[in-house]
Formats: sequence, C-alpha cells, structure tokens
Amino acid sequence: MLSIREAGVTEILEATMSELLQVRNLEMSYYTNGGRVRAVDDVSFDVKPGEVVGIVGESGCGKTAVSLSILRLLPSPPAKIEGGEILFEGQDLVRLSGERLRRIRGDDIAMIFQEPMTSLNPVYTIGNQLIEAIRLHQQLEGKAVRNRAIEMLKLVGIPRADEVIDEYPHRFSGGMRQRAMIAMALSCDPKLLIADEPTTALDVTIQAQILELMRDLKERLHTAIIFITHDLSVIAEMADRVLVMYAGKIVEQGSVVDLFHDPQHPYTQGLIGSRPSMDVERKRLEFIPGSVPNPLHMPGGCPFHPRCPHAMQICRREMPGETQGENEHGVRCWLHLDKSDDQARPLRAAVGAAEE
Amino acid sequence: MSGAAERQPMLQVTNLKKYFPIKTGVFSRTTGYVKAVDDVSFEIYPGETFALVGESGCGKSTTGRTILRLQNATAGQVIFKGEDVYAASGDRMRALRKDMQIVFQDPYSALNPRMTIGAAIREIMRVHGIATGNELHDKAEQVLETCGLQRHHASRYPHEFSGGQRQRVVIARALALDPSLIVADEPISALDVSIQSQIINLLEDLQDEFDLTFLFISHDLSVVKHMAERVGVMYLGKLVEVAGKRELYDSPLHPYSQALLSAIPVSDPTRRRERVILKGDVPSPANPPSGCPFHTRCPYAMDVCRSVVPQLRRTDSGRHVACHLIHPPEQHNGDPTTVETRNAH
Amino acid sequence: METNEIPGTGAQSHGYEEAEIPAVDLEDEEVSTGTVAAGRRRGVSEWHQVGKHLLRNRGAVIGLIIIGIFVIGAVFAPLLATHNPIQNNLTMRLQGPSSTHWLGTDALGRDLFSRMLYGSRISLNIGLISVAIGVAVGVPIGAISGFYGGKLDIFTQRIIDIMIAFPGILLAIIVVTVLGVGVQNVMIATGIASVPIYARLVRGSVLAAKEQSYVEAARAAGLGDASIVFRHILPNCLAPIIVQSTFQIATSILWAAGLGFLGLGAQAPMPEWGAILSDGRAYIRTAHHLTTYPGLAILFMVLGFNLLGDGLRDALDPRSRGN
Repeated sequence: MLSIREAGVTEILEATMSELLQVRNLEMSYYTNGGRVRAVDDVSFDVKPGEVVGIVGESGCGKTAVSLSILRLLPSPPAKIEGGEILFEGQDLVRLSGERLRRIRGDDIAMIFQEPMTSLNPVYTIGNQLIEAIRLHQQLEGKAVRNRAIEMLKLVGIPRADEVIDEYPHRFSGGMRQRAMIAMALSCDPKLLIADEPTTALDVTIQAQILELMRDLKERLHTAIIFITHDLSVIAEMADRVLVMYAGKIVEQGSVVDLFHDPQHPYTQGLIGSRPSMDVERKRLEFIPGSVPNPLHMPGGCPFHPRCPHAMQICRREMPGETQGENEHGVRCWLHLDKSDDQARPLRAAVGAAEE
Repeated sequence: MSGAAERQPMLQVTNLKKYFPIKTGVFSRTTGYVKAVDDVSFEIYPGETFALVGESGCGKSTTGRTILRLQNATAGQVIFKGEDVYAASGDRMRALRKDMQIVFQDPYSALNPRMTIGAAIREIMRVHGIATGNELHDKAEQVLETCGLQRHHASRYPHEFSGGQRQRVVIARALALDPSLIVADEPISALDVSIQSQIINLLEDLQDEFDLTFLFISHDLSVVKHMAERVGVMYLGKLVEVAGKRELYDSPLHPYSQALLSAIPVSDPTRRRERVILKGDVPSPANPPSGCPFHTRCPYAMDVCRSVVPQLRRTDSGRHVACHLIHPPEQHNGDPTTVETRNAH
Repeated sequence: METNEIPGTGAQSHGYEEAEIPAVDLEDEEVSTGTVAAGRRRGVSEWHQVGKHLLRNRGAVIGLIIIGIFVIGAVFAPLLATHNPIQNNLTMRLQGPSSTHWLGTDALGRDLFSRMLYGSRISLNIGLISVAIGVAVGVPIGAISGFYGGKLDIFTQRIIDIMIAFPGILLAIIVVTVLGVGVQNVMIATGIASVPIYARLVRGSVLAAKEQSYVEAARAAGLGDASIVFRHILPNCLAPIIVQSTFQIATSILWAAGLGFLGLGAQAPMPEWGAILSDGRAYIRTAHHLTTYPGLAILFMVLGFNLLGDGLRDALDPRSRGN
C-alpha cells in the first residue's frame, strides 16, 4: 500500500505545516421561489493536512452546503456562491472552472455521501465503477487498473475482493456499499476527503465498523477529512477539530476536547446537554426550546436568539463577531463580548423558557 | 421493577411469529418466508417502559405492529389486559384499539395532509364516542394543549408545523383516546437533535400524568437507556436478551448485546471505549443462518451454535438470555433441534 | 408553562413549545383573534376557503371564464344563433367568414357559427357526462382494488389490462355497437372506455397513499375501511384524478367525434363538434375554416378545463393553499 502512497507523502511533507484548505468568508445562497436562502453565511475555517475537521449541526444548518461549495457541486441556479474564497493549496476553487476543477475534484478532493444505496449506479458492477474512477484520474492501463481496484477493495476491508469486484451493487449490504464508496473515493489518493453523514444510514454495529475503517485509513494514508454529521458522539470519536454550525453560520469552533469539555456557545451547550448520556443518568433531559428556524425567515441578529436562554437585547439586532480563546477555540456569542448595560438587558423577563 | 414480577402483566406476548411470504414468478408462488418476527415472547407491566432495541430489519417495528394487529401475526398469542387480541371480534377489536395506541417514527407521513389536526383528532374521538359537539372541539383542543401545543393550532394543517410540533400532534392524537398502552415506534429518530429531548421529556411527562405504559421501539441505545426500565434486545427476528435496564447496560450477557452497546459512539473525546467490532453484516432475514442467528458474527461462536437454536432462558439473576454460552446446551431436555414452545417464566 | 412573547419576531415561545415559523405566524394573528371559535370555524369555511383560493388563481379564473363562455353559448344557443343550424342552403355552400355567416358555411351551406353553438350543447354534455361515468365507476374500482389488494386486485387488474389493451375508441365502438347508435349511448360508451384509465390511475395512487402512516394511524384508532378510504386515502389521490379528468373531457369529445364520423354517434344533421370537424376534413384545402374553428373550440374548451383543473387541484390542497 505504502508504495502507492509514497509520492503523496513526500508532497505532504514538502507542504508541511501549511494549511491544506482555507475557507475564507464564504457566502452561498439559494434562490428559491420563496426568496433567498442564505445557506452559508460568512463561514471561515482551515483544514490542515491529515487533520479531521468535523462539522456538526442540524438539518438545514448549512453543513452540507459548505461541503458542496468546496467541491463546487452545487446546481446553479438556484445556488450561487456570492463571496469569499476557498483556497485549496493556494488555488481559489471559487474561481476555477472546467478541466482544472474536474482534476481537483477526483484527484485531490473526494467525497462520500450519506446514501450508499443511491450513490452507486445499479447497472454497473462495483469493479466497473471503481475502475472508471481510477482510469479518470491515474495513468494506469489494463490489468494494472483492475489490480489497483482489487487492492482498494481490500484496503477498505471487503472480503474476497477479487470475486466481489464483479458483482453488482444490489448484492451489497449498506455497510459494504459504503465501503465500496470509500474505496472509490480513496482510489485516487485524495489529499482531502469530504464525508457527508457517511454513517447516518447505517446500523450501529456497521457504523462502528465504518468509523473504525475511516480512522485506520486516516492514520495509514494521512488523508485530511472533513466529517459532516448531526451526531455529536460520532464527532467526538472522529474529529480533531469541530465546527458547530447553526443557520448557515459557524457559531463555535475549537479542538474536539475543548469543545466537548468547555462548550462556550449556548447552542453547543444545549446540543451536548440534550443528548441522553450513556454514562451519566439524568432524571430529565435538558432541551433547546423552539425549533430550527425556517431558512426563508431567518431571525435577525444572532439566529439563535429566539431559542437562547441567555438572549439579550443586542442579540436581536446584531450578529456578534468571533472571540478567540486559547487553542484557537473561537465562539460567536455576545456573552463573550463587551456590551453596554442597555444592550445586555435580557430579552425575556424570565429565563423560564429554557428551564421550564 | 422489583415489584414487577408480582404484578399482572398488562401485555403478554407469547411465541409471536410474523412471516412474510416471498412471492416469485407469474403465479406469485410462495418460495420462502422472511421471518421478521420469529418466536418472540415478553411481557410488559402496567406503568413501565419496555424497550425493544435492535438494528434495522431485526423485527422490532413488526413486533409492535403485530401486537396492535396492524399486521396479522403468523402465529403466537398477544394478551392485552387479560384479553386475547387475536381472538377479538371486529367490535371488540375496535374497543381494544382505543386502549392501545401507536406513535410513528415519521411525523411527516403520520398526519393526513388534507385534514386539519383538530379534525384528525376529533375524528377518532367521535368514532369512539368520547364526546360530541362543542365538547368534542374542546376536548381535542385540550389534548393538544396537554402535548405542548396551543388551542388555536387545531384549525391548522400539518404542513404548517415543524417536525417536532408534528410529533407532538401525533402524540396528542394517540393520547386523545386515553389509552393505557402506547407503542412508540422510533418516535424521535426523524427529528432534529435539538428537538429530540423535547419529545423525550414530553413522553415522560405524559407517562407520569396519565399513568401510561410504553412499548418503546428504538435503535438508539442512549435514548433507550434514558427512557426504559426493561429492555429486550432483538436480532434477526429473535429476542436474544431481556433484562432490566441497569443490568443490561452494566453487564450485557449476550455477545450481541455486548457488541451493540460497545458500538455506541461515546460523546466524550477524551474517553475511548474498549470496543467489540463485529465482523460482517446482518444476514438476510429471508435466509437466516441455522442454529443461533448470531453465530455468523459472534466472536465466541461454538460448533453447537451452528446447529442448535438457543432458547431464551432465565438466568439465576432473573434475566433472560438466549445464548449457549450462558445456558450450555447439555442442560436441554428433549430434542435440542426442535423449536420448543416455552413459557418465559 | 408560561408564554413569553419575544418582541420583534412575533413568535411565541411556550414552555417547551417550539417557536413558530414566522411565515405561519403572520396568518396566525387573524386566526387566534377568533380564540374559542377558532377550532369551530374550519368545518363551515372549508369550501369557502377553496373558493377564495380558486378565485385568487389567475389561471383558474381564465379557465372559468372560458368555460363560462361555452356554457352561456350552449344554454342560450337559440337566442344567439344567427341561422337555423340544420337548414341547408346549397347556394351558399363553403363560404368563408362574412358578416352574414360569421364563421362561414359548410358543404351544405349551413351556418357554421350556429352549428357550433348548438354543437357545444352536445359536446359539453359528452365531455362532462362521460368523465362523470368514468370517475363514478373507475375510481371506486381502482380504490377497492388498490386498498384490499390480493386476489381481488389481481383479478380486477387483469380485466383492466385487457380493457386498456384496446384503444379507447375501439372500446367505445364495441360498447356503442352493443347499446345501439345515438348520442346518449356515445356518452355511456366514452364513459365506459375511460373507466380502465381511472381504475388504473387511482389504484396506483391508492397503493402509494395507503402506505402512509396516517392510514395506519387511522386503522390503529379503530376507523372503519370506508372512512379510511374516503377520508384518508382518496382525498390524497385527488391531484391525478383532476388532471386526468381535464384531459379526459377532451379525449371524450374526440372519441365522440370519431364515433360520429363512423356513423355511430351524433347523426347528421345533428350538429356536434366532432362531427363538424370530421365533415370539414374533406374540404381542408379549399375551406379550412370548417376544421379550424371547431378545432379551436375544442382546444379552448380543453384549455379552459385544464386551467380550472390545475387551479382546483391547488385550491383543494391545503399545502399550496397555505402559501
């Protein structure tokens, strides 16, 4: 395995310490019949080589929109990248097009999706699809391609790879398909792998297998991963750093340990507190009141203020900037910023909404 | 829990089976069966929450539906408050249904999009003669209020609500008939993370207030740990372990329960759990392995597991496990290869 | 559980109640002022709301106007007609449109405008009645077949397969041959010919709708089959039925025309659009108005029903009514 990877490793060593991906002030909107939806709003983050960055958030928070923006896989219209830059090894992906974008998509950045049932084409064998992916991006011919394909299937832990390669996707279970998808994504030695809810459709025991596989591959191949999920526990297990998104904005980011042990944003605190824990028994679960806002009618100011137990006057009017704590632990919340007494007046008379 | 054994069970399920025929060819010949539920027995006591956990296709939802007779069982007995559900006539069944209700997983498809939620609730109240006229309206609005909605919501259509609110409506509809048993089939898995705990809290509040008994079906072991008092673990249509929550989570006996529990991701990045990673996939229920259904993935599989189906038996500590490791097959009386009928006690 | 008004948003946060979606809330203001009566209002005003929404839909209004014009023409044909529709005048045959004959004359010198006015009486009837028959028979067959499934379903579906294997017009011919020639029998025949189409369509929709958990919930609540089918399943199959019906009206008129052409439908000299159209075919090079105007009339009638049908479909769906 290592021989194939060698070139990649030296490249990475040359580029040591520099960021692999830098997203700066990304703005992306969907233009729908109902109006403009700001799916990604002023999002900035970095991914270092070999690092696993988790993006966590609920449906419609923009986590998938971020990943699709990076790969420029958004259908336009209705989607439009309206600002910011996505620097991948210094190249701005927002400004790339055509052949050069295609090269980056398969060669350097690969993606795996949530639905292993629909992301494989049912009329081609696993081998055909894998071989096609390899041919597109690598100068291999004939027998070598097939061997490489078998090697990839073995790498992702598919038993009897040399026989299985000629089977059609419907013969595969969900977990096997996700393995095949990962094999396909990794077949071109990407530097960055974007995994969008890769285990959400899978059962717990299969999820454990896939997470184990991804951790193992990350160590062996040193691929950077952007791991998108709504499941906090999966993030806790997988990620080195975590971005918490709410309503298109990053509300908190930091190392996984800081974030889970010392969450700063009320939303992060609520998310962590509302999950029943396997270790601590609680009589009653904490909860975040209200529901995720309708993207067409985003509340002004900080989008979380209608649900926030600490909401203040200022929260309704203005989105706070980011405050940086130790260890690149950033949070966007007025609680951590200077404000006048008047601005700090609580929005609700009693904080009863959250405590009930 | 401790007093459970002396009380009369509210629901007693004995040797429940649900086989779906596999039909092929022009003449729809039955060529085999998917054994979705295969010889499942358990009981639920008044006021408790009994959870069925397992992975997709293990038969936990089908079990819930066959208990309510939404699907007819292939064999077995369901006794609800002393009455055989499968012996009930049309009218009797209708009356029984008032007393056992269901909450569905997907609140988007669980409500008729062309009916206001008030109309939907009033309809079922009217069918059971709970109220008429103005009282009917009032009661329907009252039950919405109980579930954390507002009275004027009764005149709204389902699409005007968010997922969490819809689930409240679904719960309100189940509650409208004042049932004693509610089958909650994955009631929170379609909801956003921040909404899930609202619904869990609501279910618990209602249980306290109305003295409800829950059959809680879920694949989410952390939620089950929070909600349930006793837990049944299902694998490929069979119950492999039934135990009190604390016993199960502290020391699972069946190798599958062990693997399932260890597979849950820990939401603490500084802790890493010793993990049993199972090999391979869940076999197809249309073609289950011989012997113990789990033997293909079991790290401790023995020869006997390949041929003899382990029975769910009581351990010394009062738990029930179906595993040859716990109950070595020598202790069996009679022919070990036949699926003997057996009482859970 | 106290209620807190959050200023500015108009949203209410209620204990563990969820914040409203603001879009809904705007509408909510008027609803909640009715307080106690709010829940009661709905039953009476359901159709009122459908009507209101229909009239707000521009397409539906245009459709209504088009259909209205045809209906007025049909009802007041004796008053509006400029000539006797069946009186021959061989000296004036195949005239183009003029001030005396607004739409020209046909091969026997009859006034086309008057014939079409009277013809709309028959054609409208054929379209509506045959669709009514198709819906009245086909929908229950499809619903029962889809809802109960099993052997009954297999049996019904094989019969419908056989019926669908014949072109609709052929089926209509068979029926007319059995029932005898005449306009009424043509209506029945075209109606019967459309039964399999509805039955197949409704069965498919019912199969999809009955898988929804609200149907299961209705059963779990102890509702009978009839209320499940009529209150929970069929209302959710309305859209395809309405769309099919708007097309079926046109198809029936054309089938009736075909039957008339074969001498099985409206008998000469009775004016009927299809018959006028097929009579005019022979003169399409020399007197194209004989085919153009009836063709346009059919086109507009279909368009009218189509627009109305689309509007009706939306108005009956609370989801689109909300927006």
